[in-house]
Amino acid sequence: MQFWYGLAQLVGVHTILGLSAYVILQTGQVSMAQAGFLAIGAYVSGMLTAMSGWHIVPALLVGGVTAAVIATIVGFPALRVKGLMFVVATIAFGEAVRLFWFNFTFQVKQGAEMVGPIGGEGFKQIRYFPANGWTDLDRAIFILAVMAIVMAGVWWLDRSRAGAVLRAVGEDDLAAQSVGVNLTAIKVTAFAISGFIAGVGGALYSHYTTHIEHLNFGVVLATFAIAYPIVGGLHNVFGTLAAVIFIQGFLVEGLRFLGDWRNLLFGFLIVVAMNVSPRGFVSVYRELSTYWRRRVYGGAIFVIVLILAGEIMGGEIVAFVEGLLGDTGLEYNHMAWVAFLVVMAAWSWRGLASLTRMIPAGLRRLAAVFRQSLGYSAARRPRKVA
Amino acid sequence: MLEIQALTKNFGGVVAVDTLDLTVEEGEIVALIGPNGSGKSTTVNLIAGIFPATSGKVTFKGRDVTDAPPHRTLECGIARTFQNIRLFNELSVWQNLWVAQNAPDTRKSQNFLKRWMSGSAAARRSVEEELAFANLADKRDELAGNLAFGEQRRLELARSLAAKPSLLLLDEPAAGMNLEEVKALDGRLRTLQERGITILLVEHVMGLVMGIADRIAVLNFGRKIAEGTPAEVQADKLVREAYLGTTDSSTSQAVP
Repeated sequence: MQFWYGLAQLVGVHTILGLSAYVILQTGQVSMAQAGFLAIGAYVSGMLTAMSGWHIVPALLVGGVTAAVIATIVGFPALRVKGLMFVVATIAFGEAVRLFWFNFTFQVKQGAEMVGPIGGEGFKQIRYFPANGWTDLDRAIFILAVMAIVMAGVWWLDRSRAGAVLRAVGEDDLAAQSVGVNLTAIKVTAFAISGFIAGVGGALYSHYTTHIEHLNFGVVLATFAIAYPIVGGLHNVFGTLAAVIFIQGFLVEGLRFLGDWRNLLFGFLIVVAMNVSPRGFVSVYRELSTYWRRRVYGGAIFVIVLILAGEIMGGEIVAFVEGLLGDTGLEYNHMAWVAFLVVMAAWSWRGLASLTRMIPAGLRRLAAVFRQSLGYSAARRPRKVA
Repeated sequence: MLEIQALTKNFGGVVAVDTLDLTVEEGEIVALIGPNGSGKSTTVNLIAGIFPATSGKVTFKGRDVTDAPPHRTLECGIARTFQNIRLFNELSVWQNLWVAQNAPDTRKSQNFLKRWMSGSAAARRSVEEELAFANLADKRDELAGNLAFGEQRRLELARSLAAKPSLLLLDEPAAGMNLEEVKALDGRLRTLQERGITILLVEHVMGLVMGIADRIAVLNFGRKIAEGTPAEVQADKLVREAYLGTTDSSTSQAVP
């Protein structure tokens, strides 16, 4: 169970990071500064709880507000440029933040030991959770609850007029300006909101890892931050959550058995996901019929039940089945696979039937995507006229 | 209402608009015509504040709006449409109008949260009115990008009207329309005039311009070469040479 609690915490923090990028991506700006805001929130809140003895909730908020204030200050010059130049400017900012923490040393004496960040060695004593006796389950619930609040907030923003204005700016900033939108104000506000969300996420991050260092907040994390909402789709906050589960749960954790080959497959699968659903997971879900939507829900519930059953009473189940089998020569593993297949088949025999149609169709679709990406399309090639 | 004095715009070495003087009185429909590249759209963009003028002055209702950014000119009451339709394609028809709610009279007396969360009741009512006026009430939940061309034109006009402007800058609203649609647009513009909205119209469709405009200004190479009623402009020798064409060249009358 330990593993699943850890994964839940990871998913919570990364979803908050993804949602912070989601807000600024609505305005059409690709921000690589999210890892920097995460670092600010992480260090500031860590210092507050570890060095000043604050409670985690106010530390969380102050971490977020600090990141938001810095986002506002940086936003005014950075958002004067757009497109690629904005990407470059935000990468520079993210690296600047990282290097700031690399050089930042500030320690206080607490009892016998020195507490606080030491430049390149990082900040090692963020022990709020263990010191206050929070179990793994408590942490997972707390982090997921904060994630749910952030998600609800962004969802609400998305449906408000402000959300429509953000999207309008992202679609066509000139037209938005011409219908009365003050571009600078809107973009800087969106940047500040995204900074706040990332700061809160950073506060959770530092407390659940208990040890942070500048290397955690590099360009790779910034890339992940924008990958989540883009892979998930920019039309719904749940897409970001789905993408985090897909990337962190399946690609990063689930493929661990592949060793270092994982990284190769990781990139490949992201490209496939983008090609199959260029407008994000949510758009694919929307196109599904009710029948397949039920399969998606059902599949998710089935997997969760399987995991829970295995974790809670895995040993008992194995012993029970082995006892039934006796000395027939069969093992639990064989029976588990048979049972799995039988359940799958019984549960959706029509689903399996259409799977046989879907796989060739999917392969054809993929082949077409790759042909087009190579610039080759037999149907569209103009015929030579003599 | 709108006064343009010696307005000039240079793009590098090219003089797009050259010391243009133009006055638009309240309630008028003034048309701006001229060959392609004569500076009509540039003039509209200068008034709307898309880019700053090189020199000259634009005043609207006594206020200097020469270098005001677009959202500021809109607050003063100047709305515009674009030559090539610029809608928010991924937003629904209704949301397109919902965004355009920033004019002072819809903004005053509503609190901050209300304004950004749902828009005031008055603002939402004006959205419904403009949707009905544009004949798009039944398409309110469709994505703007999925509308037909004529509907997109109507939506863009409705969006600019949703901000309750007193002056409307229309940049070729009839481009790409068939005769019937032009006729409908003609009627719509006359209704707007009755509603008290002043219109500055840039257009190539002479059937529309000559019928509806109270005054016409003709531009050529950024300079105003003539101004007057439709009849006066049609009779002007310079205008015929530069733009409208002369009667003895049969091509200009060749439309069946």
